[in-house]
Amino acid sequence: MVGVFIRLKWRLLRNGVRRTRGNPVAVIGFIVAVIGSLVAAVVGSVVLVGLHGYWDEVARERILAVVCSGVVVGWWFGPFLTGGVDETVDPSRLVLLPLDRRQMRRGQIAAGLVGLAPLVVLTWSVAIAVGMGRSLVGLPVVVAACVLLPLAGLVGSRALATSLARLTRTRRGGDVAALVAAFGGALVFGALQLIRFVEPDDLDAVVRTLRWTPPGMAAAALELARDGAVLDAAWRLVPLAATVLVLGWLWARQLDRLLEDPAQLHGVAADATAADGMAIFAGARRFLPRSATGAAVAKELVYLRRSPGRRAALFAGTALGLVYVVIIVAQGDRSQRLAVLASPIAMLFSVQYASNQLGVDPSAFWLEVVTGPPARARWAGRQLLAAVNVVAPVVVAALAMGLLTGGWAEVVATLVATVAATPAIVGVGSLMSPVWVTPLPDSGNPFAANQSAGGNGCMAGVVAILFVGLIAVLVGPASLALRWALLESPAWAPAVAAVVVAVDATIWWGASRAATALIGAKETDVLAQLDARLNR
Amino acid sequence: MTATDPVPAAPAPPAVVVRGLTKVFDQKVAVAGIDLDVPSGSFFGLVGPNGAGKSTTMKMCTCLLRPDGGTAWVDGVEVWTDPAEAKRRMGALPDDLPLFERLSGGELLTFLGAFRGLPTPEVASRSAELLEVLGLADDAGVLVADYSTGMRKKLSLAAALLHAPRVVFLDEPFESVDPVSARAIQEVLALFRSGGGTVVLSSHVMDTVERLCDHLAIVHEGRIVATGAIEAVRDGRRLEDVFIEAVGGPTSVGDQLHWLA
Repeated sequence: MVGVFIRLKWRLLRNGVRRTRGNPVAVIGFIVAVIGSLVAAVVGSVVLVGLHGYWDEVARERILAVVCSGVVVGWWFGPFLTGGVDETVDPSRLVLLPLDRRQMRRGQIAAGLVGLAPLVVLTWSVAIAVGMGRSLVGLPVVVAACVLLPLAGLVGSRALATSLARLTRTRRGGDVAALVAAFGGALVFGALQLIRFVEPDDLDAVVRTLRWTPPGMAAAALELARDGAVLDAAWRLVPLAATVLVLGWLWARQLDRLLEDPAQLHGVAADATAADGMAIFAGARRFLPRSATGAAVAKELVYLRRSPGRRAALFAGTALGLVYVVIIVAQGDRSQRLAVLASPIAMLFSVQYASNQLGVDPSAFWLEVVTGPPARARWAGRQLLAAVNVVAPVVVAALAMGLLTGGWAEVVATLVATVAATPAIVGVGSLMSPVWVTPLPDSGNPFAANQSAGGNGCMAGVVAILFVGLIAVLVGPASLALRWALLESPAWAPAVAAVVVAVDATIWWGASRAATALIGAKETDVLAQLDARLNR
Repeated sequence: MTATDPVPAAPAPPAVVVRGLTKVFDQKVAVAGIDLDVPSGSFFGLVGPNGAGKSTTMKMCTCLLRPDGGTAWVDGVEVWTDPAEAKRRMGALPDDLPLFERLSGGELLTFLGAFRGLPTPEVASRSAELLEVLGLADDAGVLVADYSTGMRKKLSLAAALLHAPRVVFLDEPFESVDPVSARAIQEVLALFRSGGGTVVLSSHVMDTVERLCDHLAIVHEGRIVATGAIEAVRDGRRLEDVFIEAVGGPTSVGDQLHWLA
């Protein structure tokens, strides 16, 4: 049965690649993902094989602690960052098969070891075994550590995905799940950024902390086993083995519950506000115009409340942005002012909602196509969602930086400049959206987050970077001028603000009009990219 | 004919005209140059085996899929030249396409009505009536995500009819629908036709087509192999027999599957 799961996963991957044919964007994304994985596997393996004798003792300690911890925590949260959770993990697809729980678990673990990211981790594990397997006596412990590390990552990832799938049944649970995934992702991201920026000597404090965690203790076990201290080494592997057992138990328990009631994977319980069927214009939305544009805005506001996917994206974007700003500010000697003024960088992780506005709600785009709404309505709701995703991370980051540094004047200047620039950012995003469309999943079910299949996730990132570059050129100078005027020359501020607002409004107006013309010409192409079922 | 004889009324132009419609996926020809005339006010069945090209044809007629060749007119409007006007005149119920899962049924109709430019009070009253007739009134406040397949089908039909189009395209409208709901749908469609509307329905359930439709076309391997008034196509035989003859008989079991016996 294990072989069947492996073949299933392999076939799913292969078919995912086959489906990229004829879609240059997906092909590029896939190629980038393959090359990136190969580079990571080769470079990482060279470094880790070098543990055999190339690195000195201090460097070896650092490398092992960081790699062992990174493998485990990265595997836990990586799939949520990249949308890489695969279909073989989804119990609802397997529930009708005559598989006992043991077969299911073994099969899912085996399937989890197939793929680009698992290939990288397994290659590293083998490289660690080669690098650290110097003593015949200690070899069994080294091998055990190299098996336990990916296993802890894999079982933890499965446990997390399955738990989140159950949690997302309710709105509150969905929010908890979104927070767990968002802040876990931020943790991994922050750690990766720290490794990149921090000087090797500064790592010692981190390494000392990591060595108290189960993966860090496994790193210590590897060193001891290398030197032949087998008993000491074996004891240090116990916490990691216990972690695997506890996570395995948790996963099995959640899996059993899902298998008993697979319907828990689907749908979100109706909330009380939906009791009035005509309530799209209810509550605060009653002030919206009763028009196509008003309806589009109302729908986005409803979705912001009800869609775990939207909230997860907003939480994750905000958390990651904040971590990024903190990391940048932590580098070198930055003044208070620069610390706060750096906060617009926080929009980096949610900006895909601005540059990929048509990729949101991809499966229901056909309704818009057959309905043929007025041009303004096409963008109104999408631009609102994009604006929220652009502004929210900056507000959180600026306030956090203000609290840390006390630079409240800079906070005000940053927020004013961001709000002024937002229309231009979302307008340019609307213009880019029909050109590079990537479907984004809208689901609280983590098993449905498979947008990375076929390199889509990677390509979405590349497009977002291009977009950031474009708005830096178009909007950056005016925004900087406004912040300069507010902080350095308040007398000029009203005049500069008027010019900046006019410039940004003009960019928004022109870009939105161009986007409207473009979507009219490309509507069916966009639809075909968003929903493959329509194209067969 | 003398000068005093009344001039007979000109026949109504077809509600849907399709000429040379073609679609190729990779190297597979899904629709191979279909020509079709759907009489105005008719209940037109588009039948064919799985993969014959029915759904693809419907998607190309409803602006969901751009054809590689040929074109279609709906209520006199060329679909791919003036899609906005064509969309005003037609409604569509594609097979198994997702809706906005996190709107309630009522909210979805309100949203789509607004997108079509209908006044809100009008949308509210039409939605309420459609939901009532289709048996969804009690579930108007339930999220679409929690609707059953049949309920989604009925909601999609309500969405297709909300703006009172001249032509509706329905892809397998009775699939997954219980008999009571199916009857309700038939009554709604009969009412729609009585007002001059045209229904184009795809199905591979011959009984349904035979009972409901007055015209049909049999599609096989992307081509029309028979079309016309249903009585003329049947020519006194059962529609199922005509259909099987047109698309080729079933593969004989022969001595295979003996392990099932």
